[in-house]
Amino acid sequence: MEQIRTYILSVIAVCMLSVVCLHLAKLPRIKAVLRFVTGLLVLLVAASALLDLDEKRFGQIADALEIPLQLDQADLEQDVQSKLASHVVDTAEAYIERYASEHGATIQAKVSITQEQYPVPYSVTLIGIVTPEQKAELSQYLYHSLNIPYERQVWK
Amino acid sequence: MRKLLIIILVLLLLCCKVSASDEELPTEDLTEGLSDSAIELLPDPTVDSPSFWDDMKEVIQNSLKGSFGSVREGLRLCGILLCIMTLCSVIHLTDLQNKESILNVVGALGICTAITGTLQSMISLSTGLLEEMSTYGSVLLPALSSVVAMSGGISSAGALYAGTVIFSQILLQLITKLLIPLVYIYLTMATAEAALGNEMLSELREFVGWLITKSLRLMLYLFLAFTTITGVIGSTADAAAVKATKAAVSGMIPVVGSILSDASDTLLSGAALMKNSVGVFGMLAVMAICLLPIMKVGVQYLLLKITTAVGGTVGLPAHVKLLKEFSKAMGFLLAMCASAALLLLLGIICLMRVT
Repeated sequence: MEQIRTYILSVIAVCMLSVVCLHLAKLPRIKAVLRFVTGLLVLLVAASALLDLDEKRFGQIADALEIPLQLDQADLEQDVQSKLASHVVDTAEAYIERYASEHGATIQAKVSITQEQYPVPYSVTLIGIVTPEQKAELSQYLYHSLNIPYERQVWK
Repeated sequence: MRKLLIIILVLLLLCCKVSASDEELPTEDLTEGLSDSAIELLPDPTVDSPSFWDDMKEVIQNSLKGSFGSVREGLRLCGILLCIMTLCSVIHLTDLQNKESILNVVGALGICTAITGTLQSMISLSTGLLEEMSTYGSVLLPALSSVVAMSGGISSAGALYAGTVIFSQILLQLITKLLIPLVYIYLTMATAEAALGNEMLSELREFVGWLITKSLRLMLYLFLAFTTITGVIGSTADAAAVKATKAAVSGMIPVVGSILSDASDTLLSGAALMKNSVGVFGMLAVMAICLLPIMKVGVQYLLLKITTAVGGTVGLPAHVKLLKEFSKAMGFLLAMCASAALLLLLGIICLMRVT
């Protein structure tokens, strides 16, 4: 941007200089000579920047336009994935606790999930006092409905 | 006329109500990048606002109260300018030798001196506005993009966020490093033209004016094209992602699928409500940042236009033309501020409209 500004400034400065010189000159012959000289000068200044242009300069201009972003696609996807995982954990724990309360048991469930694209319950820690029948029923529910095998069900 | 149509279109797109939400609006984070003056103009941040129009009306009313001082200053400036022009035209009626060239130079310099202070303060105001919008954009856009991504628009959110940031940064650099210096050059040439009394610089001056207006228009058109194309491509990608999720869920054990489906729905619905709230608050904040400075510049522009029209009846043609160029320069400043504000607002609206 600075280079474009410098270029435009230099062209305009030369044009203004030529206007001032022409205004100060009174004789027609001097005016004609001045007009020719200042015209050449303007042409030289205008063309000089164009002669410097090459592929490298365009590359530099393109590089200068690179603007750092605070977020990118990967950050957004990770953010969504972590929020979804958190909701899956909350929902799974709510399902398990509701099932247990429907069958007369009061427990607290802590679920851990897989780290795949669609996180699903992987293991569960159950804290509470339950009868053996309630434990067996809940274990079967966890195995058949939530696909958590018996070895990944921890009772405390 | 075109600008008015664009503004009306933007306002029509803003026809949405703020809905109630169980989640708290992160107002502390969203007011981080705002100056004290902008925070004063904002209504109280609540999730249960009556409507967007009521909030916007409050912002406009607060801004109007704040812009009264600039009307007084503008009127004082117009009085001074009319006095200079009247004085010059009265002297023109006398029999002084070389009065044309002397009056051209003296009048041009007098008008230039009178306006310079106001112009300088308007330029500082515009530059400050642009920097404040850039700072606030860096706070609002990541927050809004995250919420939009969680509401189901991952691809669109990423692309729109990147595009809005890049275009607004390029526009900021363009305005501060190129266009504002060009405004100074434009005015210098207009003053030289009026003082020297010839038209030799008029083509160059008009080119500079053309460059300023077309640069701003090009940036806005490019941004509109980008958001339109991104909207189409992004929504297609997001719809495909939703279908893939549904297919994956339907292939799971029913209870596990139900858990995943419930979790997704909770995330999507919560994020959708938050998206509306954050987006509306963001728009109000951008309006609070930009409305007062734009009104101040707009008032100066309008008053200079009126002074040119009134001065045309009493002033010398060269001085009337110079005043016209100064009012055009004020118009350029107004266009720069409005372009930057419009770009950020359009970015926010496009993010909010991602479904």
